[in-house]
Amino acid sequence: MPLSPALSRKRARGTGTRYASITIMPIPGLHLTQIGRDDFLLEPSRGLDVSDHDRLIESIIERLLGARASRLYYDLSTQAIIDPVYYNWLNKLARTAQAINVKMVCVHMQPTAAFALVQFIHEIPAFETALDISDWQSSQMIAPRQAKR
Amino acid sequence: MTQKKDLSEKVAALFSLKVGNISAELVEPGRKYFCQDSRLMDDDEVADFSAEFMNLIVALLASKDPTNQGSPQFHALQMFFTGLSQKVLVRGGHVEDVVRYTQQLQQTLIAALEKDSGIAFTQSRSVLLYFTTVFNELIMAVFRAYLEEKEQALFAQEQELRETATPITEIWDGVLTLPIIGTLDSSRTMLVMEALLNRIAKDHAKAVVMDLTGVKNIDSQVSHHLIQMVRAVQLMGSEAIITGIRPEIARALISLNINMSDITTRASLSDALKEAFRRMGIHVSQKAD
Repeated sequence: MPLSPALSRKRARGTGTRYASITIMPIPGLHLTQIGRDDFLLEPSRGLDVSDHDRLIESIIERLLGARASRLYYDLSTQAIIDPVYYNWLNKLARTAQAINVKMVCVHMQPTAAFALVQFIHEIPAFETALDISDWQSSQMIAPRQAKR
Repeated sequence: MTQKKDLSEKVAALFSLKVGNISAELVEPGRKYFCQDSRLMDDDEVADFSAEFMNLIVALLASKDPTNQGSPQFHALQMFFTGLSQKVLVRGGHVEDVVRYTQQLQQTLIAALEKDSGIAFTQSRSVLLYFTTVFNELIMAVFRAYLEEKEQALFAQEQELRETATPITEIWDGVLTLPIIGTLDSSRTMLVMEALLNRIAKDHAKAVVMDLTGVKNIDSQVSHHLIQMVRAVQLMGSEAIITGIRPEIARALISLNINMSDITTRASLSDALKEAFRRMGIHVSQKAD
C-alpha cells in the first residue's frame, strides 16, 4: 500500500521531517524513492532481474550513501512468492546496507510469500519486517525493538 | 459334496414351487426387528425386501455351484445385505438388529424349508453347514457396511473439527488470538498457517497471540511446525506471542535446538495480551473516579 501524498505530508509535518520525493537516476527494475529525510523506499518492478544483484546493490548503496540515508524500506507487495534466489538477493542487500549503517525493513510481505519463505530458511534474515511503513515507524516510537533480529 | 449339491437342487426346486408359503414366513423376522419397536420400516417395505431376499437365495441355490462364494448370485446376495444394513443405519437403527435379523432369517429359512419339504434338514449336517457358511458371509457384509458407515461419519467429523478447531479471533484492534486445540500435524499446520497469514494481511494485525493450552501431544515434528508458524508471522511484520506452554511442550520445544531468543512467550493469555498492548503502545488503566 503506497503512502498517499496527503498522508505522507501530514505525517512528515507531524514528525517534523521535510517531505521530499525525488528520483535521480533510474536503476533497471527498481524504483528508489526518497520518502523522508533519512528514509528511502525501494519498489521492485516486474522487470527486476535479481541474478545481476552485485551491480544492483552497488547502484542502490551509492544512492543511499549520497543521501546519507538511515533506513531502506523494501516493498514486497508485488512479490507473491519468495524463492531461495530472491531471498538471497534480499539478504545480501540487507547485509550490504547494514555495512553502511542503513537498516532495511521489508514491508507488505504477502501471506503466500511468508508461507513459502519459512519452508526453507533456517536462520533469522538480515532484514527486519513490518506490516507497512507507518506501522514500523510507530513501533519504533513506542519501543525501539531490542535488536530483535 | 454331491450329496450337498443334490440337496441344494432339491431345495431350489421346493423353493420355486412354494414361493408363496415361504415368503410369508420370511417376512416375520423383518417385521420383528424393523417394524415393532424401532419403526424403521413399514410392512410393505419389509415384504418387498423379504421377497427380494428370497429371489436372491433361490437364484443362489439354483446357480451352477451354490457353494461358490465368488459367483455373481452370491455377490448379489451380499450386496443386498450391504444395502439393507446401510438403509437401517441411515435411519438410526442398530447394527445389532441387522445381525439378529440375519440370524433369525437363517433359522426361519431352515425351519420353513424343513416343514415344506418334509425332510429333516436339522439332521443333515451338510445342509446346515452350508447355510451357516452362507449366512456368516452375509453377517460379514452387514458388518462391513456398518464399519464403512462409521468411518464415513468419523471422517466427516474430523473435517468439521479441522474447520472449527482453529478459530482466529480479533480480541483487540490489530490483536488476533489463535487457540490451537488438538493435534498439530503437517496438513493441519498448513491450513492453520494459511488462514492465519491471510487474516494478518486482511486485518492488518500487529500481534498474534497463539495459545497452546489445548495442544494434546507434541513431538519434534509439531514443534517444528509451531516454530515455522511463528517465523511466518514475524516475516509478515507482525508480532507472535506464544502462551499456554505446558512443561512437556517446553521440553519438546527446546529439544529442537532452535534459537528461541527471538520468540516471545508468556505464561498466561492475559500476560500475552499485556505484552501485545505494550508493544503497540496501548495503556489500559482503571478509570479513576
